[in-house]
Amino acid sequence: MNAITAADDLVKFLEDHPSFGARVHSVFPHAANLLVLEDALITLTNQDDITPMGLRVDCGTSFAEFLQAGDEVFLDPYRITAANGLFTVTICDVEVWETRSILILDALPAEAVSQTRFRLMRWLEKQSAQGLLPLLPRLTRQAVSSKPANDNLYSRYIADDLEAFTQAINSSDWKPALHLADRLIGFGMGSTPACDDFLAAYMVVLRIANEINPARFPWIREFNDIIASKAKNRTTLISANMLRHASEGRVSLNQQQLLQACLFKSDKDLILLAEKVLRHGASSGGDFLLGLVCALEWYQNAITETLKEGEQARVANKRLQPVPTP
Amino acid sequence: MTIQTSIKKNAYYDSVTLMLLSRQLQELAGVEDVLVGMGTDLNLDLAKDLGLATGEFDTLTPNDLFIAAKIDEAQISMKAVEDAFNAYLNKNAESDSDEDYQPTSLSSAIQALPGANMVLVSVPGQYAAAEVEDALDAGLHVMLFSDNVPVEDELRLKQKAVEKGLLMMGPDCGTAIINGIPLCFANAVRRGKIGVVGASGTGTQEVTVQIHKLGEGLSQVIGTGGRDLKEQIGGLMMIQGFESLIADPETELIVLISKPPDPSVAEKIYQIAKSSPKPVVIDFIGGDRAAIEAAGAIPCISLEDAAQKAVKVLRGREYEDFTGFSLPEEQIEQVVEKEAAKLKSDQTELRALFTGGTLADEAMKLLGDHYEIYSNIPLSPEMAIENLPEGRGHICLDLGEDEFTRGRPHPMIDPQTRTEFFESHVDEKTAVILVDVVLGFGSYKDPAGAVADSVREIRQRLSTQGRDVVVIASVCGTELDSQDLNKSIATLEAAGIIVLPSNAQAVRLTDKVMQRIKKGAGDVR
Repeated sequence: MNAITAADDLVKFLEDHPSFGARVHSVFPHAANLLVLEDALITLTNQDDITPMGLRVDCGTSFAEFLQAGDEVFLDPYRITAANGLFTVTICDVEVWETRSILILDALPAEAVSQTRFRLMRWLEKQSAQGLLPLLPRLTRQAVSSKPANDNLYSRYIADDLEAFTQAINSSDWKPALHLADRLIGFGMGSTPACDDFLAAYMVVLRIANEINPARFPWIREFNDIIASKAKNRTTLISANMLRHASEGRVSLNQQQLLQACLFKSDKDLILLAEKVLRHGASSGGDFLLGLVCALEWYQNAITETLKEGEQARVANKRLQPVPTP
Repeated sequence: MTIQTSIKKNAYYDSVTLMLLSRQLQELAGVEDVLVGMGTDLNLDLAKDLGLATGEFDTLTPNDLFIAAKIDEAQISMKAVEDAFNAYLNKNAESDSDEDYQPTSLSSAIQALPGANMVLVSVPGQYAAAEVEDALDAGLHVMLFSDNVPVEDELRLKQKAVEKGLLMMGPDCGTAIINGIPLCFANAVRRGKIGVVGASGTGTQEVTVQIHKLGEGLSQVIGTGGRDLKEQIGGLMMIQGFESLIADPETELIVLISKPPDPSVAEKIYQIAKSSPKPVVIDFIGGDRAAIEAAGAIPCISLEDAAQKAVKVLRGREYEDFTGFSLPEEQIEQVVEKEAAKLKSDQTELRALFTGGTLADEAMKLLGDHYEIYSNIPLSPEMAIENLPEGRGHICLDLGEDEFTRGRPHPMIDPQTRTEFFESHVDEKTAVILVDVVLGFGSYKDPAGAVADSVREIRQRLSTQGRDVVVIASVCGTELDSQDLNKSIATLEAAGIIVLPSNAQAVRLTDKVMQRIKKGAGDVR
């Protein structure tokens, strides 16, 4: 089979590591993770969406047909080959996806972000309430229906902590928020626990705000770095990788396009983009979207404060830049 | 009871699979409580809070899956719980295997099954039109389950379908039986000579079930979607389905079901009926009887009446409006007296809690002359549920409407919504509770059991005040449905619920009990 799209960080990684072995970490019908070095994952997918360190391939059937956890795999810049001989992906003439391609251009004013957030919220209310989504009315302080929420054990258990976390971030009290994040990292059922998806949305919104105006939010880098670091030992490897990418402002292609439409001028349909994100994983998409509508509340307030202080947002035609390693 | 843990090292599953597995394990006999999750510290904290922690938790890492269960070892072992977990997983894995591989696009699905001639589309409404267009272009009939499809798209797609001689059932089409294959919500009914075109889901189900009960069967059951008979769409699919059944050699009689169509659409249908070589029975629920008769078709007063007339005409027998009961009148009167005697004089209100929209609509139309009924699908705007004075009055709800299904399944799939309404909307003033129980493909595995449980709880609650309540139900289903009609009736009757053989009869009995209460307690209007 052939690779169709490769994440730019994967391309660089393969160039930096011309030939080495890896192991299959986990296999799903529409994705497979390869464990490289000690704790990094390369994600192969046959879906439209692609993640950082990801490779989209024209695999017309389940990955479980070819791979199983523990299989040995060899990688070089031109192919990925399973030692069992059943699986080879040729990497040639692939489209390279820029994992940091959010255009920090024409940032929407707070009022427009607020309207976008409201639209997103109204739409999200109508979606199937899996994962943390039953908490949407509570976390967004909407009128709670007289009908009991269609909740679940996990969302009931974590509701107070999630609410406290959102309140702390809304007040930009980042140290208490960091402390509260200890109660969230790794909580949830599946391979990316629900609270991690929620946190990923926060981290990437925070990171974008920091890119727009680094002087205004000096705490964000440290906040994101600490959460990514804590995640290493407290959640699944798949999720820890996701949080590490999010801390650097990297999310999946669909999430990236949705963020672009939420925060900057975009000609794409917000709800269609949200729909694509919602379809990611089992409940992961919904958990990310819940985090996003909460994080947007902080963002719209932060942008308002920024303008009040007369600071000019750095909205020149630029792209997100990597954070220099300290 | 003992607490035990099973661990799967480096195992990854999605959260919904684990949630479903958790629920299934919870239902095993001897399992009192169970939690499944990845071994992260916080998940383990949750297990500890639930009293499900064991010493083995110390060996868990965040990349391990755990099953923690409180079990009665006299009934089940942890090994059996594990085996059940693996069996469920394997069942899922089988459906992911190459043999049952689920294509991710319409084009790959067509490649995988080149002989297919119909596509069932169930994607979010905004994506649906593109999928349907592709299907029609590929020469395939379409059943479109999705709702929220713009009416302009519906018109364009139906026009294309008509040009190509194809069916485009929907959008928001929940019921069809094509060549004996039930699609979405439908009942297991025998095949036969009666063809149905329906613009209302549970209305169509009720008619097909009644036809089955009367000993006849269905050739084809074609859905159109609820908007088809509005002026904008012009009844394109009702007409397409109607003409298809006229041409179908296996169909000897045709039944059309809908809420009253736009007059311009009705006229087109009457024109076709006039020239139909096959008898046509029309139930435009509450529609224009004279116009139907003028078209040479047979009008009906209820869904059950439509089925009765269809069967009688097919068998060459005389027919008349069916307004009564399957039981003798004196037996019905005895039931009415006995049930009304249970009530206190201030118990006067009706609570009709329906999962099927057409059944709720039929109930209100049959009761409408006698009572002021507030509803989320009111017969007139002033009777909207928002206008209910101080929470008191007669209420009939269609719990399948969007306002009750946001973020949760339709109540035919998950009875929880109605269970909650039993708790919140039935009180000491309630005299009669009227419900539907819809069986069949797509429906909840035991809807009768869920209603019976709710009724028991209500009766227990009311008994503390020395009160009881009358509960009347009809079951839309057959003995061939997986939920089993007879078993469902027995379940309801064991909870003291009076079960009638059709929605119309259940409504009529409700009317009689309410009238009897009026005599004793005065009109509450």
